[in-house]
Amino acid sequence: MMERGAEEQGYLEDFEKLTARVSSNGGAWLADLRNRAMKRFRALGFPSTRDEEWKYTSVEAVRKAPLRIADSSGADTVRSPAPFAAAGWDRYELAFPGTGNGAGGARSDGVFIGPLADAVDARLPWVESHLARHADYEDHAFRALNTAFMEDGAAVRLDPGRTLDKPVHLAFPAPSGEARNRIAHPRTLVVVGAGSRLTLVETYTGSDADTCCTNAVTEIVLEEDAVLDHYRLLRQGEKAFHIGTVQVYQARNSRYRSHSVTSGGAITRVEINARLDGEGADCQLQGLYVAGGRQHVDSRTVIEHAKPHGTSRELYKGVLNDRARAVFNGKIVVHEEAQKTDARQSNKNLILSRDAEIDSKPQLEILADDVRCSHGTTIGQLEEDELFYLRSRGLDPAVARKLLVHGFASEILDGIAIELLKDGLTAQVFSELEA
Amino acid sequence: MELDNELVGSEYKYGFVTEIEADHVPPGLSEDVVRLISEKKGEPEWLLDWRLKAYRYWVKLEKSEAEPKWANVRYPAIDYQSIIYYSAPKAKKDAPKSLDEVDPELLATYEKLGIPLNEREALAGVAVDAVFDSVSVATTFKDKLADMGIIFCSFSEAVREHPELVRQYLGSVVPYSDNFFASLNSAVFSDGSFCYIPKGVRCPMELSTYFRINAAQTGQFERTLIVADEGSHVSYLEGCTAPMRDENQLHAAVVELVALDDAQIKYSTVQNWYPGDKDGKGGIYNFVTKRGKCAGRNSKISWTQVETGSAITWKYPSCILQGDGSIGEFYSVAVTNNRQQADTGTKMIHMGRNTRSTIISKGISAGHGQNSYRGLVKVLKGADNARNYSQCDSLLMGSECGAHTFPYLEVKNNSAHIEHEASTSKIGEDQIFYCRQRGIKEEDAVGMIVNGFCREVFRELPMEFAVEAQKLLGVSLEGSVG
Repeated sequence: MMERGAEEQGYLEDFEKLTARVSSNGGAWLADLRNRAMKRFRALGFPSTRDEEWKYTSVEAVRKAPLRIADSSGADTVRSPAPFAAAGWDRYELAFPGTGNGAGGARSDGVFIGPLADAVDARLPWVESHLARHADYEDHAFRALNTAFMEDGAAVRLDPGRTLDKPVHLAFPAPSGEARNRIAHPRTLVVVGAGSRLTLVETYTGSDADTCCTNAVTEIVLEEDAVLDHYRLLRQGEKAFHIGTVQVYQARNSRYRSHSVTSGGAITRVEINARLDGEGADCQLQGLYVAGGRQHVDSRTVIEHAKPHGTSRELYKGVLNDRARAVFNGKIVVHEEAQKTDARQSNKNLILSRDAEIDSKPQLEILADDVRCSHGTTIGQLEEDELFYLRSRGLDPAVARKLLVHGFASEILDGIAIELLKDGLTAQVFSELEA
Repeated sequence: MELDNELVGSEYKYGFVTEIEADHVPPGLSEDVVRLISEKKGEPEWLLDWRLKAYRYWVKLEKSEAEPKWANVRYPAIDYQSIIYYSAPKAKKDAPKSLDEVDPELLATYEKLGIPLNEREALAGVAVDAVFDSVSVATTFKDKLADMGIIFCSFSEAVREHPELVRQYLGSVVPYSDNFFASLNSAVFSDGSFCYIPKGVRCPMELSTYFRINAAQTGQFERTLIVADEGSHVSYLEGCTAPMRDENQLHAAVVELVALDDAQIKYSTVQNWYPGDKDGKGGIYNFVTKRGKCAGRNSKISWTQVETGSAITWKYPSCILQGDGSIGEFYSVAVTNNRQQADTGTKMIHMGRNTRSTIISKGISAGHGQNSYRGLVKVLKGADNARNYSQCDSLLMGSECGAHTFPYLEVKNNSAHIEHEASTSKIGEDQIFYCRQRGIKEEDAVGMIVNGFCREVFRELPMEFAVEAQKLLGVSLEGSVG
């Protein structure tokens, strides 16, 4: 274990301040959870590139930045979030920090949409039984930190058999304010009851002005036959760090569809992990990462098939420009019991500049015999003959390239079912590709 | 699907021990042992120095607990002080000059193994340099090869007769500081093969060495060095069987290949060392460093391996594609049955322009076997137009085994074209049904399907090996489907 330096010290001080402030909230179990997680973080320290899980992503810059938690007294102003908000699509929205504007707070009729703190204070039984039960912090320093510091964030619960008429939008602007070097630990818990359907949109946005860090954890529980469409859209500022985990627990016959679109940020790492813990569960992960400048973007997924007859499909695509570096690590684990699993994974990368770099590590770990699993990875630049084809039809090279790159990215963007969101996002990603 | 269980765990066919007096050094490793090995072999000063450097480096690694732990294999800690580091068949003062002088018991052993040493000339152009434990006892076809300027001899002989070549290339691909087991090998290597193909010569026959581990508790540390000079061409075969033993035996070999401009080296291995019994007792630990350097323009190195034996296999035959236009290939079939574990794959390091590599890996897991593919494709900044195609397929037979894939792709050049595909599946019931319907017995059907699965690799093997490999595969997997 590495020596704890002054870097970790700041977190300890912050933790004391936080516990003093929130000690009365949520009961003993939460205080106990925070303490255990903090203890774990102190034991783990920040990961280094010597850890296999962090081999290609150095978080030295995050470790060294004197990051302190954002003051929740309200002194920190909320930055104007997001081009996403401008899209004008119909939704229930909660923005953080602060309470939900508009539809926030508890809703009647078997639906709860509100700040996590409210759900904790109301001692809703599903909070205690699920919070931090799925996103394991034992060997993950950032998840441990988030668990120790969680304060702002959302709780969403649909009782069995409910369908919401509109998507739920959780907006997280990057922490900022008068002081630089803020870190925020948004925590979200989503529990979708048996047979319920939900569309969830999480957006993380930030300005280019100052160094900041978002360390987010979202836990999702899908009970039997539940269906969740999940959009996780990330558009961070140039100097922002983003470490995020989505941990999904899937019961029998549940369906989880994830669309993750990532752009911007100095260092971005998004982990999406699903555990298919009931027969016949289905998991679909789609991802697009776009990076330029000196950005570093790391996408990791773990799909764990624990029960028979599960299916999973995964497609992650990346477009790299300038001196950007992208990392993809997709793991499919099939447990002994999970016979008749059908899992496919694909990672495709387009490198547009000489100095960009890609490290891809698809992984299969299979312990059952009656399965069909495959993965594929491609890394390359635009095909000469495709360009030639377009040029032979009179398109100039720049237009031809643009067309091909857009086509490459559209495969993921077209999967977004909310039309206005899709249009807004597509326009934004395309403009970034041209920048 | 119900199969005859009679065949489950078919016994290892080559388990016998030859009683030959061996010339041992006492167990344990120290600087003195390294000096003793070097002295026994009458080595020059520079080689002793190199061994000692390696030894000191290894001690440092061992102290800092740098024995590799990342591989997906499990085994009890090895006590390096309980291993005998040198054993030679009792020298009868003078090394045998002809077959008549060779220990008849040794010859009988070869006979059991089916190495037709005494009919070798009839054996379709295969020259056998048999390594019995650590010292070469016979080489064949030497004169014929010598006429063409080809040097093919034991490593010790090469040190005596061609020190300048050995000195130039030894450690140039796998330096003594490369990894834990390579350092160990560099300190205590006993013997091995050396091969040099001069400029523009096409070796007229397949060169072959049979390695055999004998004498209980003897680690075997061969060192093989093959140098193909400009425009030359050589195909080298390596085949292994080992007698049944209860103690785990460590095998840490190093193989270095160097291909200069326009040269081609094809290196084929069939490995069938004792895998341990059904419960995982005994068996060989096969921790091998194999690497080839395509140093010259348009050179080519091709590895083909069929790994059916050993309790644990830890092996990554690799290619450093340094010369522009050079080509690296890796074809592998790895079988794990019972309690066998294999963590094997390759590294393709693209350094030169227009370099190409192909990886075809077929893993078969049965019983409680654990089979991992671990591979690295690395494209460095200057490697314009690098091309790689990788395919890793796994076949699972039985619900207790596992298949794992750990490919690493690192690309720093945008003109690279990298494709990786992997799949895992079992033998389809419909495939079996189709064969059964046509009157083919179930076990024969399984054999056919498995052979078909491995076909892309087998067809890379030289003829004699391909036949042997198919038989081996059958023996290794008999009765494991059900």
